Amino acid sequence: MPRPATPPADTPNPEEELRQLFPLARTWRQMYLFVLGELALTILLLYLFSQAFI
Amino acid sequence: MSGLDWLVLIGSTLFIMLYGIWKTRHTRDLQGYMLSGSSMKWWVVCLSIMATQASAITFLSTPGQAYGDGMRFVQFYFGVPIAMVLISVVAIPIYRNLQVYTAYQYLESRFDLKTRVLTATLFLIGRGMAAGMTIYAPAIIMSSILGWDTYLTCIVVGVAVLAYTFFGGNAAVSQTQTQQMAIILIGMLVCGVVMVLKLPPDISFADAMSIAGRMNKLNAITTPSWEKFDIKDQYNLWSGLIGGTFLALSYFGTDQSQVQRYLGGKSTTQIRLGLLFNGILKVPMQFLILLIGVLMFVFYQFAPTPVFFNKAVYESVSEGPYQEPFAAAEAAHDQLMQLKQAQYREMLAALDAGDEQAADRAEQALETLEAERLKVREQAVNIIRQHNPRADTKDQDRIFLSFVLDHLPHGLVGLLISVIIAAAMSSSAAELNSLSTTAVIDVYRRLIRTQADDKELLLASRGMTLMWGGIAIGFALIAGQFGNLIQAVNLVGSLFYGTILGIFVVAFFIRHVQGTAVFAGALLAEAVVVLCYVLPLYGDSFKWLDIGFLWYNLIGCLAVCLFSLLIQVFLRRRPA
Repeated sequence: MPRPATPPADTPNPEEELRQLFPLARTWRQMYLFVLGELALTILLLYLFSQAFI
Repeated sequence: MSGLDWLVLIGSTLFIMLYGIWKTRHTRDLQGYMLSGSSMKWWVVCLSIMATQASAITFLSTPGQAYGDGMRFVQFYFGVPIAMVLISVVAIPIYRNLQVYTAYQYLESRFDLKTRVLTATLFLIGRGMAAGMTIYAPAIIMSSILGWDTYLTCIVVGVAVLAYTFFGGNAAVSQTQTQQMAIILIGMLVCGVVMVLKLPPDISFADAMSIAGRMNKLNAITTPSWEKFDIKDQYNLWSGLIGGTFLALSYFGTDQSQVQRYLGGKSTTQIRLGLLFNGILKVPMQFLILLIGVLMFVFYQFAPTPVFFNKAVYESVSEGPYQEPFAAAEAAHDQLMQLKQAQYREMLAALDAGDEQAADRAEQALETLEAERLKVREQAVNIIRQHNPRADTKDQDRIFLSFVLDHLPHGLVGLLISVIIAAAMSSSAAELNSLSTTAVIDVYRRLIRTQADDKELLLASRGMTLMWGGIAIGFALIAGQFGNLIQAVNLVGSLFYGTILGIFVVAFFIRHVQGTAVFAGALLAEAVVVLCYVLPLYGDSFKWLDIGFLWYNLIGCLAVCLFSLLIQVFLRRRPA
């Protein structure tokens, strides 16, 4: 099977690159918690919204 | 549409097409055609993923969904952020390390060739059908605007998308999706503002929200208790969090139309950030689109509302032999709408005065009037069926389009229509591109021409794009029979995604299961899912199997895991 062309190599430290691109998260674990926390907050806000106009 | 609208529509559509083709004029190699040369930054990855999922169907059908069923559809997207995290942790490092073009390449190194080809085939069937529906949505618009037959507009739209994908490949899709997404979001926001501005002077935005809330249209979170839990209920918090997660895992993690978007990312970090920001933005974006649908519902409570929103069918019946009974139904519908308007005003006055009992009485009166209105509408639909038994009697997908054509200022109509066509082009192009990539990499290069060089594969990719374009146009021609489009697309996806996801889950997490076991397990699981869907259609004795389609993703995935484990045990015990 022909080998696919090689994509550009990753930077040596992905967490360093993460900090450069998204300074709010220092590690990937923090980034994942940020996403899941935002989901929980969104569900709470949507619940309050759905109750507010009844 | 006015001359100005036509100018904006043709100008912006042509600009996007030509810009995509011009930006990718140097695409000469396979990697550039399939993976955009792996050069995309995270925000391009994010917008590209969002634009691929947000097809014309999203912008046509989602406001219509909110108009009829309220905002609870937003719960369908709760699984997206969870899935983005799981894919970032598990799948991305593997895909990047193996430097794959398609997700299914990984399955050969983990299992064997037959499992790879089976998974690619399931994807090709499901996505090929869905691509037809993605073409059908803008074809509805063209037929509404031009008065052409929908069959003809399906072919015109299909050929335009095909040309765009054929010449530009993945790079053309990615290059133009950022611009398209920006125009789409601006256009939707403008629509929402116009709806609020066009409400009667005595109805404020807060009043509109009160009306929507009292009419149960702001039901963004529905949490049935265990006693009231109904597995047939498509959209609630639990089906969204559980079924939605499995659907999103399948779609974003294993569907080549999405995998191909982010495999073009510059690095693992850029890809992960693109996915995670998609997870962050998806639910708020869908909330806003559904809110526009809710505002449209309130708007049409006070604006002249046709008894049936499909203009071509409406005009055909109004001018045919059934025009008198149809006009009578229309008059009865108008009268009921006027009675409803009076009740809305009474309800708002009672709420302002703090008189909850009077507000509740008005709400009950509104529910009675709405039930009568639905009966009158059903009569009108029956007249349409008598007039033309083949007529499309589902009009939910046409409501937003009716609003755009009838109530937006000149110029904006053209912009909104071009936005929807742009969304259709990007989604359809991404789908065709992924179909051709999978067919070439996982079937053609692996089974038919194992020694083919890049030049031949590029040629084959373009040929496959043409072939899948033709198949998608064929499906588009019959898509009108599926009712609400966004539901139909997700249903088709759910029939195949569970099995595909199950194969990947076994690959990632159940290390001792081998190729033959997962191959047989996947075939059995797919049979189970198809039976779950088909049996309730053919007899009351199987009605207990009639469940919300989101659960098919969970059933398919779990069935693959279970069957694979059992078969693996059986294979081990079998004497050599």
